[in-house]
Amino acid sequence: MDRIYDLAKTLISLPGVSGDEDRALPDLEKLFGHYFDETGITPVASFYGIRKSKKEGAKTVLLDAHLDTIGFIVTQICEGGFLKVAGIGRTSEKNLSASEVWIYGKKIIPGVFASKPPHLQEPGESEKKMELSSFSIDTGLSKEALEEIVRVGTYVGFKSETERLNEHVAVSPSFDDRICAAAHLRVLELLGDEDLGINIAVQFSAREEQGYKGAMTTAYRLNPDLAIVMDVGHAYVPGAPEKRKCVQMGKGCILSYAPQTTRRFTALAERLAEEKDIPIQLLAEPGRTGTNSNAVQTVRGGVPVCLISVPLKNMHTANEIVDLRDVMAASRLVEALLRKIGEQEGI
Amino acid sequence: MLTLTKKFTSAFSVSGMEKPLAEIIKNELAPVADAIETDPMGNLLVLKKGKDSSRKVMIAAHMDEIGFVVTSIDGDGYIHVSNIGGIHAVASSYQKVKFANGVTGVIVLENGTKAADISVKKMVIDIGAKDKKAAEKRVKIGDVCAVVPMLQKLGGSRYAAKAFDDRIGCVVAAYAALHCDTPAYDTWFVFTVQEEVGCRGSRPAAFRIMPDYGIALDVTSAGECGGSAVTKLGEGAAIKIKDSSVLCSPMIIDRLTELAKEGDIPYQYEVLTAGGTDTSSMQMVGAGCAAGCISIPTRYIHSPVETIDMKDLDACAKLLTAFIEKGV
Repeated sequence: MDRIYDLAKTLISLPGVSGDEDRALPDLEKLFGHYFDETGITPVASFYGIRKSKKEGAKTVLLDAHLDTIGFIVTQICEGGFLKVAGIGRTSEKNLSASEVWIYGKKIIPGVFASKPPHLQEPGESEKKMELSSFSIDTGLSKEALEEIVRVGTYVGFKSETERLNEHVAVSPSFDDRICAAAHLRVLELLGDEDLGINIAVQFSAREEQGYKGAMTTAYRLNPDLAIVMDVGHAYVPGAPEKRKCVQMGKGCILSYAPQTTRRFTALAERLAEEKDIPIQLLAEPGRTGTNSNAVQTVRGGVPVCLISVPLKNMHTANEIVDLRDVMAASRLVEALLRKIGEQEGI
Repeated sequence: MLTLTKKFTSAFSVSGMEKPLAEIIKNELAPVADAIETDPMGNLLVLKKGKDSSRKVMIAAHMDEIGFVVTSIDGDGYIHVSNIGGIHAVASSYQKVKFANGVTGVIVLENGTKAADISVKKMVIDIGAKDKKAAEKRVKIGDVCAVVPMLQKLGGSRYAAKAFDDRIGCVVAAYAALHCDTPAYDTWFVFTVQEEVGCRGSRPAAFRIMPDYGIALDVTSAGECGGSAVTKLGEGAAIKIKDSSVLCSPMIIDRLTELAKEGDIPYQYEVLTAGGTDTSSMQMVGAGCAAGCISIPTRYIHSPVETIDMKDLDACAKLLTAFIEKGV
């Protein structure tokens, strides 16, 4: 559990707002390049690595997690050192007030979303819906000093800090989806040098929050036979609709039955979880799942996809919460699937 | 450049019916092209060979403009229509329109339509027919029309026209094709179809070429009265950071910035929170491509009086030419 947490913490320390993933790529290569026989980056700024099997004609299984995080982009530099921004990916405006951010200009500088103290608000003001356009980021610098560092188009992300609330539960702004990248890397660590008779390709895909572009193009390049996509899913919180109770924090990873996942593949995962005593929670997703699975499934002639998710609270805020035991369950399930696919040469 | 602008903006090129404009562009570029292809969707692809043929560049500007398609003709001879692309309903009301077959009419609103309720649903076209039968002799269901072309010089170097979007992008691409030195890499100038209905033409075109680098040319909203656009008219070529369809590749943004600085070309950045462009089709093709966009600052987009500054056009053409000649 400590290892998964450390991996996640390292990954989260790397920047990577959608569109600005290039910033994370050199460090990814440096930190994790040695996990693979071959690595590369794509024109859309995804990172990928391949572990090759010695077996002739070995099938390729792709493990996907997205690299990008939600964030903001500067549209205007204003008097008094304030920045106006537009959103990259969906966030809830009412959570922004007083959030801390890092501004990825010529150098990285801190800022906070300005907030109006309750003492100065008009009666009823705090109940009003906030628009992103009414927010500014305060940098504490003069406009002139700020213009030296920031330009229109500079990316802004939540301040990257990862902390443990207790032994099992951790909080960070970008568990979506770095926690899943950590889970995939943990699988490779668990496998060590063992050759399962399959090629294992891992992609940390860019631009997921912007329409799955990195996953689509990187999977095209890697041309896998099968794919396991990992993302985060909403964990039940008190007050949420009853139907959401099927996914709860600390009760295992989520396995999705959906039109955008492959039923036979998901069923295999479900059987393996039972055999190996890995805690899972089933989720029915009638829509497009909101993950890379729908993009990877339709690459080239089509790829069978299994979607495994980690329950998470407070998605797309500066304080996303996960239970590390769920993450470990996900890693163990991916490992079991890879072994099985190697054994029986498919699903 | 003004000659090309006049020629291109006078053509009829509603999405799906871009052929007349494609023919005009083809004739202009034939003398400098190493190859010219038209694909099944109607995209026009013009190749200029480069010094290094191991890499490919795709330049994309869309030929199509927004318009209307006939859905029914009522007993009184009024023609009911649906939109092709994002119609600016207020600006299109009470305008003159022309069908592909030359029939002219006026767009009017149903009697009593309140200002707040103006929409394409409330629009009918009066072609001067006395009844359904008379109207059907001149227009049939499925026929397509657009607001009649107009190009008007305003003060200084500014012009207003119908559908500068994106024939002005075609002008920049064509101008660069005609005047550039040998490109750094094999460069395909692609004049795309059906952008206004969801970037449909550029996808197969990009697939055909599988470019390493892609540059789109399109309009972006600029400095309108009471508006909040990031870009301003007359302040140079707008290097796109994002729109709602794409986050441009940083290496293209940085390279265009560098080229603008080197060449003393006025430039600004563009962050568009709405609207999509062909840039995304190129970025997402195959295993992906490094794509960006040079935007032409334009006021009143999708109205019949879209307004540009020729100085910006000049800057865009210079910047595109520099990219084509110098590469990455």
